[in-house]
Amino acid sequence: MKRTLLYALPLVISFNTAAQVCTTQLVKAHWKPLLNASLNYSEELDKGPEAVTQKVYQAWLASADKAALEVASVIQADSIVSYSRTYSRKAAPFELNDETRPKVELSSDMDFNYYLKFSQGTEAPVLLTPAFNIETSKRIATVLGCTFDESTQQIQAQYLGTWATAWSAYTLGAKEAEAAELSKYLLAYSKEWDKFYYEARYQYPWEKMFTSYIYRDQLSSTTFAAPPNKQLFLLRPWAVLEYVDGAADGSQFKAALSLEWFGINLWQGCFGSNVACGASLISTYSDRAGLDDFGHGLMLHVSNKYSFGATFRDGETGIFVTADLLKAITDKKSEVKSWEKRVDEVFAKIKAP
Amino acid sequence: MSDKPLVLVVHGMGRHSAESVKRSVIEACNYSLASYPSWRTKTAKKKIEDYVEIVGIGYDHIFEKERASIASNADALKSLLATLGSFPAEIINTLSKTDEDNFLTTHLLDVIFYAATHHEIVRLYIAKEITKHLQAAGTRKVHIVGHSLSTIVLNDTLGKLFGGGILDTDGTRYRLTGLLNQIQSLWMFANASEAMFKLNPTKTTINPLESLAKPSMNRSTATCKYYNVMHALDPMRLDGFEPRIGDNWIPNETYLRAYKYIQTEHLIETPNPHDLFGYIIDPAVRYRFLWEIMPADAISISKQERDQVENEVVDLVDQLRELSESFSSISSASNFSDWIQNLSQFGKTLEAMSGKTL
Repeated sequence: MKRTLLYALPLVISFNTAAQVCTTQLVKAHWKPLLNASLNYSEELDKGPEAVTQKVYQAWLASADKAALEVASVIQADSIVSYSRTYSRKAAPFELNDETRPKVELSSDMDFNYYLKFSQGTEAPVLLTPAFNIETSKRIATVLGCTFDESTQQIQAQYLGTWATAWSAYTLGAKEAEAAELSKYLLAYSKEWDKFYYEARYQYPWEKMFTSYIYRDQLSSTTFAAPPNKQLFLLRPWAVLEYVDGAADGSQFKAALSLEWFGINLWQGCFGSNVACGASLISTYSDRAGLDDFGHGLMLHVSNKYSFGATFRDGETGIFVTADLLKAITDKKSEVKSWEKRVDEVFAKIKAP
Repeated sequence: MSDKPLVLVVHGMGRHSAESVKRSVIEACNYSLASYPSWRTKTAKKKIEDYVEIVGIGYDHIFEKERASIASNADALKSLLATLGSFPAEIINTLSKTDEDNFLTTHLLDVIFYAATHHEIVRLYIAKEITKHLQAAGTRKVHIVGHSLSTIVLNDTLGKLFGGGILDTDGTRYRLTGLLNQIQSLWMFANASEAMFKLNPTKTTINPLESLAKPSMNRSTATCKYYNVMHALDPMRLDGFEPRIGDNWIPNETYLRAYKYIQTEHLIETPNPHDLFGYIIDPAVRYRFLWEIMPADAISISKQERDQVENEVVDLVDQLRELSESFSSISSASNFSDWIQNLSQFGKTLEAMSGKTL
């Protein structure tokens, strides 16, 4: 221990000539050389371990060793030197992958006590509890070259925390790269979900709920889920325009209430194409003279927008068609009228002999 | 570039913006700082913003879009069905009112949307925001604050971000590791993640006991420290997340060093025990919160002074006894519907008491 103090002595003397108030800025300036050495090493590690030059790596090691000597003398803990030395050697370019490189951190417990943590990968960390007292503060003031006063007592954790941060800054490149890489995929998945909600066939809340329940395992897993490739429909009311040839004259072509009992839609495409398609079991209701008011049949969906199908009642076949109005007028209610008008025009042409 | 610690505040339920939730935390911090005489004496003009950067993250725009969409579609359907005569359109009428503002649509509907329909898109949005800030943080310490619904969102989002992440079709996994991107502390106020996991019938959320939104000493999880704060009168308390030592949630040493459950009991500036501002200024929280998010050594208040300030707190609990009893009478929920009704009862009680819409 006393050996480390001797090593640190020239450093102490060199800083003791100035006299200024101990500030945060002074602490940061003090550890700037170590931080710069760390960042230089980080920059080269970013390009791959083979890109790291001995000069840069050795400069970081030298800075880390020198800093550890000083910290050991300040907090009167010889072990800092050996731990710093051991862990910094494990940080050699080819020693470990980016994630598992060693770090030093200043952390704190729930009783407001600080401790230093040397860790590597997910191995159990080494914890050291520094003694924070007036003597420590005086030594910090000495190495920083500032005047010891009452405020200096509140700079101990900052001194150690900034040292630890500077020591570990060589991992910054890997940290940023990890986040940047993931960001691209998060954005891509978000866009897919946006399409699911706003480009696929409209789903009522209970249909979304039903779809969620069916895909609950993926959604509740610890991996992000892409949107399901199938939309499910359940008890879905809507209105269709239905033509029943066998109905009495004047009530062959009528608007009808439809209810999809259950349906499915491959909203991203089906049969190897990118054209969405799906089908639903359906019943329709309309008041028609001479025929049962209820028809039952099948509805087909195309391109997430258009639906058509056939129903059967009293031996008569009805055909119906509807663009998905829900989808078409999601944003503008006023478009309902113009859409109805367009549909009327189309059906008027169909009915014309 | 700023080197202040970064605090990301994710908003809960209701019509809050990222900006309003940020203001709430800033005001709570400055209120707390000003409560200590020694702070006022030494650093009279210093505000929390001088030490910490607080960023609000909101996801209400996702729910607003859905509310508007439901109402718009229901109106369209009503218009079409009008031609069919007397259709029993109660449900459609209800849906068409989804974009009107009341406690149901602005608060409870958020819970239902997240539970049942918009879970993953909210998580991905929050994940993008958190990842963006972590990427830009450099050497700055990052803290995350969740409140109410956002505790559920954070439990799920951090669980996925630091858990399985995104699995590419070629088998490559992209995720955040605690080793490189662990946040410094996670604050969960009115933690509802357990209630949602147990009661949500669509089962779309992550078991909080299994989520990596938990503390670790060896950087194997999302956060270094985890604060779990619950008010004694908050309706969320009934099915709250409250792991105990020995539950195998985290190692015992981590539980003792890096996890803290805090039960608050005061009502100081607001009668609402669910209020984020109220949570932060509670004497059991205020110093710990400041001490955690502010730079090392930026604040140091003696235990004696903290105790003195706590003793001088003017508590509204006694003045609001009727309200307290009303909150206390809310019972534990056995299903999702009961839970939503409990929250509704809570909202109505508060509205009646404060005489304004929440």
